[in-house]
Amino acid sequence: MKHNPLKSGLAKQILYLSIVTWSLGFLIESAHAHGVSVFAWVEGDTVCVESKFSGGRKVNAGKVTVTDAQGTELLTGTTNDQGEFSFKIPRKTTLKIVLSAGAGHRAEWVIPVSEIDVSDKKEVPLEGKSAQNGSAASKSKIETDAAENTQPLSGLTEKDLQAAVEAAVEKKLKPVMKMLAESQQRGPTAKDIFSGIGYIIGLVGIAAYFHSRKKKK
Amino acid sequence: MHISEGVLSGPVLISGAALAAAGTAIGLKKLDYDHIAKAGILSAAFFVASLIHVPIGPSSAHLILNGLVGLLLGWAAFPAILVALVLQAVLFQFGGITALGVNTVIMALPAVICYLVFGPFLHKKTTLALLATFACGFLSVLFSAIILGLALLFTEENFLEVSAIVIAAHIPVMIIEGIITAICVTFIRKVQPAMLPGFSKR
Repeated sequence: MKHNPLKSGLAKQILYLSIVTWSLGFLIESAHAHGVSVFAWVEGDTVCVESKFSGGRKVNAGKVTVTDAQGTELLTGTTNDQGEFSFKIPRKTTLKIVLSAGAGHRAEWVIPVSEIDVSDKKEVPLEGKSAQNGSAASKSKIETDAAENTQPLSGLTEKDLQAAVEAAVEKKLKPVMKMLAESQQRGPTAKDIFSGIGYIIGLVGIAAYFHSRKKKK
Repeated sequence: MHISEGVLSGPVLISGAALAAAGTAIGLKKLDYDHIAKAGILSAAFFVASLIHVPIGPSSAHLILNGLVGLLLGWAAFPAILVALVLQAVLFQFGGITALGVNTVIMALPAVICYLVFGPFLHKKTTLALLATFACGFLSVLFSAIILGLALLFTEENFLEVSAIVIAAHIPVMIIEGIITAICVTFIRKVQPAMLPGFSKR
């Protein structure tokens, strides 16, 4: 589609390479936990992917496939020994990230289009736009706002400011996203285990009840 | 041993579900009042066993205990394992709801096979029973790995390669399960032989 022939050839090569490395890595790793999870977030113009088996071990050389909402494959890759993989956002679309770790282990994560902010779209800030062709009232308001903001930082345009703010926010958010990724991939808790056992006891009770009713008849 | 959601194609999922439904129906029919509590206990044991990781070698597989469940429950292993798998899928995100049928077959069918093959040996001499129970625990995991490979045969993965990898990773689990099954059954033989299948006939 948007790929030129050279690029798709490269993609194929990467795909083959990833399959080979993946199967090789798999032979060594022979990972057989029962659940695998994947978590992805946007950092500027790249997407970071983190994956883990439910035992807490990282997915080494797991195969990552990225598709858009329609299922068209955009790119593929493999995770490193920390279970991480990152890629540049190919275009502004919903990204579906599928991780397959072999022997029936698979997980996916979807990044909605609203979270994806490709840098070229940023160049026309909303405020600037409305200031240019908005109504007179909003125009004057934004102008005063802009005047208040920019006066002490002379020489800085709104664009620079926005970029700086975004960079700073991203930097501050990075540990938070890591933490979120960690908490997303927690194994089963005691609560889960006891509730499962509770359900089983309940089912036994229900079965016993119906049997006893049958017996009375 | 749990196959995740979205890996298998429709026909495999449907045939797995059909097999699981048939097995569960037989199991429920054969499950009489006296064995409901036992089925519940073993279902709970199976449910928790998958959390016990066996950290031998480079991999960390987990216990399955389907040999023990099969040996003590017979056909009722199907409903017991199905219930435990539903809970594992919902609470632990192991496997998945659509893959439930296939996963049930992967783990319950070897349990029933081992019960049919090794059940008659349970009340024989101690050494023979010990060997049979060890083989039961060992082989049920092996069969599970083979069925897993078969289920994946219809997706793009290579059957022999996948089966070999799964079996290799589960060898420690097989040995441990064999030992656990042997210990449990020997204990039950001494303490409560009525719990074992085929007791009343003798």
